[in-house]
Amino acid sequence: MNNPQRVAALAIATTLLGIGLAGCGKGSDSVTVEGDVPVTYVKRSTALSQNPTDGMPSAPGGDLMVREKSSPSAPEYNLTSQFTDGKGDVSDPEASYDGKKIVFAMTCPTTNTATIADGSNLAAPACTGKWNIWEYTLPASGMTGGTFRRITKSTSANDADPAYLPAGAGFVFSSDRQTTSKTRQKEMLGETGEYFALDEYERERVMNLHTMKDDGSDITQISVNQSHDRNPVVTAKGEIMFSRWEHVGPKNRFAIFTVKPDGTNMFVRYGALSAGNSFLHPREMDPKGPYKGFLASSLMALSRTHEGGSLMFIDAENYAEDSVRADTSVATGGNGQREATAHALNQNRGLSEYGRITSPYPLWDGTDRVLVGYRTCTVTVNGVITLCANLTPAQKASLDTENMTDEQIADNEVKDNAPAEYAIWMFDARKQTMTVVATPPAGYMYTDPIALQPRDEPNLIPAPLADEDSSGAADRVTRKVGLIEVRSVYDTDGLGRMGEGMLVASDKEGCDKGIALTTPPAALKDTRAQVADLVKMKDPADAAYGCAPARFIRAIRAVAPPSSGMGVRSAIGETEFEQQQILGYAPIEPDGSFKLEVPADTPIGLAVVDAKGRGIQTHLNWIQVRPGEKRTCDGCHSPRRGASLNSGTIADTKPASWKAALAAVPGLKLTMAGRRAALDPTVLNLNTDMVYTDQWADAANGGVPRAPITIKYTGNTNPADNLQTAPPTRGLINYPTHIQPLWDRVRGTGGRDTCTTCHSDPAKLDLRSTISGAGRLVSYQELLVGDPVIDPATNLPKFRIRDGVPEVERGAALVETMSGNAVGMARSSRLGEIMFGETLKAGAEAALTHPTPVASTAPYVPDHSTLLNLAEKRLIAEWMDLGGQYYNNPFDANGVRMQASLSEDVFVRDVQPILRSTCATSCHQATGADKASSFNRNRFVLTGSAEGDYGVTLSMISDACNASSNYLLSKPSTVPHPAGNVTQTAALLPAGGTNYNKIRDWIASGCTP
Amino acid sequence: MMRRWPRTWAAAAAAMLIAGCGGSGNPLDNPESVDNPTGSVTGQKLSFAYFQYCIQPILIKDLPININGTVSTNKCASSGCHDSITGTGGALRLTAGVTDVAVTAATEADKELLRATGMYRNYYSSRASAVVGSVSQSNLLNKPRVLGVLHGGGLIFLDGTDPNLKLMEYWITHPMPKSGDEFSDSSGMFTTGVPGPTACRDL
Repeated sequence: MNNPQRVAALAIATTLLGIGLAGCGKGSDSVTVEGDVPVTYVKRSTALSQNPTDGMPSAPGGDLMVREKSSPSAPEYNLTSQFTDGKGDVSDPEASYDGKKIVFAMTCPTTNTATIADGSNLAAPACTGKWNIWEYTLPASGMTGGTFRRITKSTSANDADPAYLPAGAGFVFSSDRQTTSKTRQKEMLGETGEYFALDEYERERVMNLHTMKDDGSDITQISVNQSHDRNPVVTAKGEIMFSRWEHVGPKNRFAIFTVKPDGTNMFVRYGALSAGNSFLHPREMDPKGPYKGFLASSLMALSRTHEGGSLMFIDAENYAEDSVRADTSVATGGNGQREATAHALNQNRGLSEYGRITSPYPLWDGTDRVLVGYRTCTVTVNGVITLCANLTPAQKASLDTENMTDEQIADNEVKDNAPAEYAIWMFDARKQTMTVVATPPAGYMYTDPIALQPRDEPNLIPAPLADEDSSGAADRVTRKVGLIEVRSVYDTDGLGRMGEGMLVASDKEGCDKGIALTTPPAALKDTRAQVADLVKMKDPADAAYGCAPARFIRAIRAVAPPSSGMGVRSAIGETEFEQQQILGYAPIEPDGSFKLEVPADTPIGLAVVDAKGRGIQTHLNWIQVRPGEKRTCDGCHSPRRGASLNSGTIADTKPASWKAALAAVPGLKLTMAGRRAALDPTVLNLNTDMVYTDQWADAANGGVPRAPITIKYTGNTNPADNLQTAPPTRGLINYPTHIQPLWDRVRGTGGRDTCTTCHSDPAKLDLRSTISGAGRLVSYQELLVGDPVIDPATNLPKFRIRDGVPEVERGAALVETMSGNAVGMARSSRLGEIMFGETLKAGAEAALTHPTPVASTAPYVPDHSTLLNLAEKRLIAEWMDLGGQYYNNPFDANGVRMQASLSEDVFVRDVQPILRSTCATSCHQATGADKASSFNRNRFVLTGSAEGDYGVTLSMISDACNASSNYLLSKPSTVPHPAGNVTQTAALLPAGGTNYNKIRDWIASGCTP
Repeated sequence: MMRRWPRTWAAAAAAMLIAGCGGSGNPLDNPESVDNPTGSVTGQKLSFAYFQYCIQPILIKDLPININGTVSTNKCASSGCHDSITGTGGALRLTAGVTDVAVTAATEADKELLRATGMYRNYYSSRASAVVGSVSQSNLLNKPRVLGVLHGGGLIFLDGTDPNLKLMEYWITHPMPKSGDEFSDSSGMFTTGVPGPTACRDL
């Protein structure tokens, strides 16, 4: 049966349904259908731009609706029009556990005259112009005439996504208040004051999770992600489950996380490594039904699907990821996720023939039903809205725009731009049926359905007690630090992020293996065939002890881009990563353990570092601790379920070759790091430098100590190993200040070994400190941007189309900034390989592009592996490992300054429409981690939300007094743009044109000489 | 290929024609046939007395486990695990050396005194690792058995038959009355009718 038949049948079914309902009246419009429930949902304008990346979009016309029954003929009421007056917006309703209250987010303009009680003021203006949290209490009977309460009343921040905490404890919600991090960020830079962080697209103020009491007091930030944390709900267990935008380097997706209401124990629940990009709206399914332990979630692309995709049922109890079983008791061959609907819906952009689903809400009434927002598949053909069922096969094929150019998309008569008129439907998983509940009027969508049913109140997780030891954890609260112990970095999952595959020959000189292996006991139900043999690795008398490759842990912190900062993009540089700060180092013990204090309430990354100061991997997500929190991790990217490898008899094994003092530390299950900390608590502190002295090997009992390591910027045993240039302060490496001087430093007799003596040829490698066309130092561009690949047949650069954008194919750059498979970037860069004189992880292709110079006397070519000293090698390794940023401190960067006069209102009126029509059609969109195109090549992401588009546009402006010099104008007014569009003859935004001038004038308005 | 949508949707609509007029009877007018939840145990407390006499001893004693012939000894409150000073075992923070207290809580003042004791700290922390009424969701049980969770301390109980688990299950599934608190009469939880260390009922 084809689509037209399906649509026709749907119409028949709907008609039948309507007929059936019409016959069941009780003397009014209300009817009762078995299993129907009262529902609430939101009515919103289809002008709304909704994407996972948009934290709080709004468009006039939104309201909170209730319907007496989940039936199309049941009476429906608009509850909030008295406040919105058609000019506000509403989102994210959630019912209380008794089903008698609805908490929701609402925004309305300050020009509205509605009032609400606010303390003693019984008639305060209701609207603040920002999103606030409201609550509606249903009346004793009926649905209207209840009472409203405005719980938050911000005039400067947005609060959204509220959910009830159990036992009347208040609410969890998502907010861009950044209550803690706005000051914490400055504090970590050693500065005072505050700033608001933008997301990692540099678009919107980040929305993180907050909690508050029932009366709106005591607002506390509990998550510190660099991008949005959305859709929190409370699980039966009492944890908060939510969707986290994980955007670090190449990772760019939404996964499902959980955290306790006090912000402790943040951990991924599902979706970080499964098929699909963005898991939104996760909710637990009925714990009393056949889907006990399952989650329902929508799954979609990162943008341009109006937050719609497929409905997923996720077996989170038995699977950590789609193809990762919890343990061996789960049969092989299964999957963690499946589409709930019989027909597959499109989880990516483009045509979804069977429609799209958003905001699922599973009922807990034993019926296996899920309320959903659902839209049928519609497109426009020559501007006329048409059912996809009416398209010809050729027309359908034409909507596969993955490899089409902007021009081809614009010329296509068929466009995937029909209004997203979601309606509320009831999906019955058992019967595989969809029945309509409520359809919106034209120009509107209905989404976020919630059943107004009572359901079991979740468990209340008690707030933690302050620790009894005031010199320990309680002090950590005051000092704003938490304690992390990793029991063994070698406890790594099937991806092997700390396995043998991450190592190279030079990591294990004299060793057969870097990491000794053994078979895990069957009783542990470990899904891995082999695991690290920690008993051998912790024994100084065993060869495996000296072969263990992980020597230090490097703790880093994300430095968030500031909102209202101009020139941020240029300051960050040609990298996939945002700015970062090194917090310090700690030794990793031979069993792979480390235990240390890290700053609380700030996004942390941990990288395992080799004996020469290079990261073996890159941490591609942010972790957090709350003040005083104690956390144990089994390992480094360890299996998400199961027993720690470094436990049981393994942890308690005390080799005879240990020194007596450490072996004598009392207690069970101590890791080697735990033992050291028991004797000397100062080892919990992060150090500025990498210093290791073997503490374990007792030579008298056969122990062979590991060689000591000292890698410092200054103060090395040999002064020649010290930096002769400015060392970084507070772990902030800025290329112009710290890296360029290495190339300029005079080396060798008469300066013959000075880098710039040889590398001053623009056609080869130019490391001079001249300014490039990009406004940055030439040497930076040379190192970070690969040369175009030349087609030998034409002798011209090669091109390819990715996501509709023609781009120049480029060869490997000397500095890798992608961190594919989370490999450390210094070890993945040819610059690292050449300067260290080792073959690491850059690969043969990069080596072919950038061969290692062969030392010779005539002509003179120095041995490059000896040009930099110990400290200099450390510095460039750190710089590369962080991502090769131009500046890592946005407030140090030339060109970054906080703008005060570029009007967002003028932007929305004059500039955004131009950008939407000229730039946002296919090129400048969010693509996500599942796409091949480089985020670095396309950082100017436009989604349509006013705040986000304004924020990212500011990042493209460095000099308001020289408007035409900014990326925002210089790029689109140049031919070709994009650089790979060789057939382009006219600029997208010709200089001097009307649109160009509008943008120019807007930029120039910010010039304050 | 035959598609299922039209047939199933039409069937659903037809089914509703037949069974479209449900009953009523609850405040939200749901039909009786729908299994609405019966309410939860949120707010109910777990017995302090039972914790002191029956659970605390488990948390501080050596628990042997034989994994494929290798026997190791575990203790929740050990320094490498949940010891409140040196351990890093998350929210479960235990002090091994606390002494029993007289569970006499006739007045609010008595209760406040009890809540200031080390034993109560252990109780509070353990309670926070349990979901009242739900064995399957309680980390206090799932962690040592490594059931769908991570456990830095590894596998402590090989299976669900361990008598220590039965005591913990009993504690979690027998909360105090909604009207009471953690010091309410829990004599029924002891075989002798008197709270004490040798009379713990179990499942």
